[in-house]
Amino acid sequence: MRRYKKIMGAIAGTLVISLLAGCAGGGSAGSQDANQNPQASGSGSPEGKRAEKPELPLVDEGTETLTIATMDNWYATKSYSDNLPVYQEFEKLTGVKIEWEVIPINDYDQVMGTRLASGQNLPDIFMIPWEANGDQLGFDGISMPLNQLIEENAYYLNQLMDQYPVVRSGITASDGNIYAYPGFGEGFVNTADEMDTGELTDPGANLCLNISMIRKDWLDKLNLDMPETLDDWYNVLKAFKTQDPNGNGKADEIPLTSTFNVRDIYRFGEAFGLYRSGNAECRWEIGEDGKLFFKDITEEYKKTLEFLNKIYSEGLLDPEYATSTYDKTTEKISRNLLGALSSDWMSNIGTYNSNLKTAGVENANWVPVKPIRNMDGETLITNRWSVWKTAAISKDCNNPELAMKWLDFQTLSTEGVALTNFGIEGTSYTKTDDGKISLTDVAVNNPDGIGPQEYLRSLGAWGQLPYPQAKEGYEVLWADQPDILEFGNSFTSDQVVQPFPNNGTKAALPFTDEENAIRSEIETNIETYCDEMAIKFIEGKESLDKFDDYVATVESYGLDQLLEVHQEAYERFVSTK
Amino acid sequence: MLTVNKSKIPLKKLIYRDRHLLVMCIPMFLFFLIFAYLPMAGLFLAFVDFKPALGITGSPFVGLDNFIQVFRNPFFPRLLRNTFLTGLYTLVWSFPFPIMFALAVNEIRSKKFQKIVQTISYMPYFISVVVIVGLLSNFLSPTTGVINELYSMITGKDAISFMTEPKYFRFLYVASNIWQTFGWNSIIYLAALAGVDIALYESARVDGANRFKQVIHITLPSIMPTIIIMLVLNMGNIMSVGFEKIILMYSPSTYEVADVISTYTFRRGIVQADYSFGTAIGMFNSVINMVFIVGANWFSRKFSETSLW
Repeated sequence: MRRYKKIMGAIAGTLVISLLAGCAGGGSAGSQDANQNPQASGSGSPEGKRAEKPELPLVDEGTETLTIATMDNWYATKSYSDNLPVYQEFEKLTGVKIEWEVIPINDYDQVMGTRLASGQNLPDIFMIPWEANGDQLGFDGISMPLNQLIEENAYYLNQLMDQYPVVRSGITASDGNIYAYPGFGEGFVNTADEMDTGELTDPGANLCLNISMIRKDWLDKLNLDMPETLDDWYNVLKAFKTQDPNGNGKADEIPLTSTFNVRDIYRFGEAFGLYRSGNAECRWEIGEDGKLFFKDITEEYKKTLEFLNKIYSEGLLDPEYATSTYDKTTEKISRNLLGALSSDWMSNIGTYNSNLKTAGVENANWVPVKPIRNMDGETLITNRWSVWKTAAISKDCNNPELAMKWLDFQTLSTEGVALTNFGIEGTSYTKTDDGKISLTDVAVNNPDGIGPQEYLRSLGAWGQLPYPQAKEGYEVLWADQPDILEFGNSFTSDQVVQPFPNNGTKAALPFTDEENAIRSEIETNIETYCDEMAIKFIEGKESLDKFDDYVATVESYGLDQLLEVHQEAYERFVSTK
Repeated sequence: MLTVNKSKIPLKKLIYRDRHLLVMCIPMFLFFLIFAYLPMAGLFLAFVDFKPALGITGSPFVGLDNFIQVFRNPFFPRLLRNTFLTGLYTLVWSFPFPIMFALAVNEIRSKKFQKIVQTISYMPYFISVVVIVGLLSNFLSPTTGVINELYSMITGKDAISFMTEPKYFRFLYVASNIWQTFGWNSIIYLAALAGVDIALYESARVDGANRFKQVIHITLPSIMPTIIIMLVLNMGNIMSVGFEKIILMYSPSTYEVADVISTYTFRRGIVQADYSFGTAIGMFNSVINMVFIVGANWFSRKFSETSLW
């Protein structure tokens, strides 16, 4: 599907180039001010008063409307434009009527990108397209600087930023302005109830991990232990290939593949201390001296490639690993061919197991595997970076204070967290007097045959607008899968590696306008070349003796300059308080 | 009608006389004005550092910077070569098929059967390219694909990763293209064939020409102008490879043959709003196309009687 998205992008992009003349000429002179007069960074303007807990409703019912542009629901058959129950509830609570401008998920980047480029008739609030650079939209005057608005209107976000300064660093741009309201992964919010008390407790490590997975039933059948080291992995994969764990008499097993992204496969670098796994796209890491380095030219990376080359040449790595898609991977799983996945979301395990059971493999049991022990014998897990630049308020918004209040209430209030994480009380969940939340039978054993997560999404929860993935949310969702919960809880905080602060395409690092221009010229070349060579090395089309030549070529493409740009942005990030 | 000496009729009268024809021309005129000529003003983007909020005219003028970026790119020679070769192979291999097909269909005696064959041959044209590539990668998959299962069964050799092996890429691209478009592209030749004077065939038969000779000496020469015009027009698209399809088909393992100008520009970030760079490289592409179409037309005018202008 991602590919399809790309295509639409290509088409839309071409259209943009040919049609932009018509629609962008007018521009909007007013918004330039935002670019030229950045507000003081940090804690807002001196005369502004800090937001207090909002009174409900925010406005008298029916007096105010906000337009919101967003990618449509993950659960595609229920569109936000149908006014889903969760947002009906928000409307009742806040009094604000929402007018949706929904765009199918796969078209969003292109359609919204085009609208933003034309810069006219923008909705009040829009979700920042995944591939877009939220800061750049601010520099370009498309979205509003939010520092003061947050200070004066976002009670809940202020409270969260006091507790976790990293949230502020995560959304602050290089000019000191904030151009986005954050969305959150796990790691910030524990329960819905505590949001209103002002006493936030630390939820600890993530529960929903992106991690390697393996067929435990195959391991058991072949009397093998869970792999812990790189050698273990090799032996397990070899056994999967040669000892016929699926029992059909043919060596048709595919011991290992990447789930949907070729870069997932480099997670085996864990064995050498390269913790890429927090984000497959990320090629940067912070060295012990606080300097960044580019992972794809390191000695450790070379060792990773050597290992991958070895398993590829022995047929232990799926020959299609470089073109994996979710569809293909699911098919291989359902056909009882696949033994291990380099990395995938734990939330998919249930689907894989039930697919296999439907296909008649009764004892099928996919389980998450702990990360590979590194050279020092440690098992470390990379926390996903979990602050995103998610929602922006556009320059055309007439009532930015209300937009901010609404966003803040929707995202981080007790009511908001409950609605976006568990859905509607009485419909999708019930709450006992002592506050214990559990999903209703309709959610767990849905008569339409959809999983609990899909059911919640059909109500409007777990959606596209920013919301914190509360730890409680996963506990409720996985109440019937205690193994997974236990696995997620088994990591202590000293086992957690904080990853490089860059959530891939969201460009969490605060680059300046000029730095973005440099990146745009150099980065694509380097990425193209690195990806291409990595595959050649792994597939043995290029000998790893040539690794030094490869490094020299990468450097000749301007790596030093790119490194410098990243280093500067990183230091800016670290110094934002 | 066309030979009427216009100077003898006043313009007003001329307009009045041809008013119906002129009205019928308006939509097409508007179409080209709005969708082809007006957007050309957008080429100005290639010379500025475009910032949406500032508009095209407000964005800083950077002269040829965007073009310099294009040419100093280390991947540029490869991109140019891949774009050209992909376009050339597509033209060379897929151009003759619709003609041969049209000739063959034309020889079918049963009208009903002719219609059935035609309809079936158009069908792939209406399948989305996303589906086509999905079919390709499913059928050709080394682990689960039908073709590879057959191949391994018959030859006993290991499966081939068609989709990730650079040497198969252009073949797959062109072959699937032919399969998808030959029926559709044959329509214009069939239309031309329908216009061939029956009397010509009758006199050829009287002279003792068999069916094959009739094709060579009557059918082909009759549709030759159409063929030449189509060839010249196609020459103008040689650099406009179907990059939707390439984006779907390629992966880093096939970049060396598959990465073309448009796909690179895409990765480079049309979605990241690097519009100026995109326009510059698009303009460069169009100029090359223009050179090809003008060259082909010149060549055709010189060596045959048919040409576009």
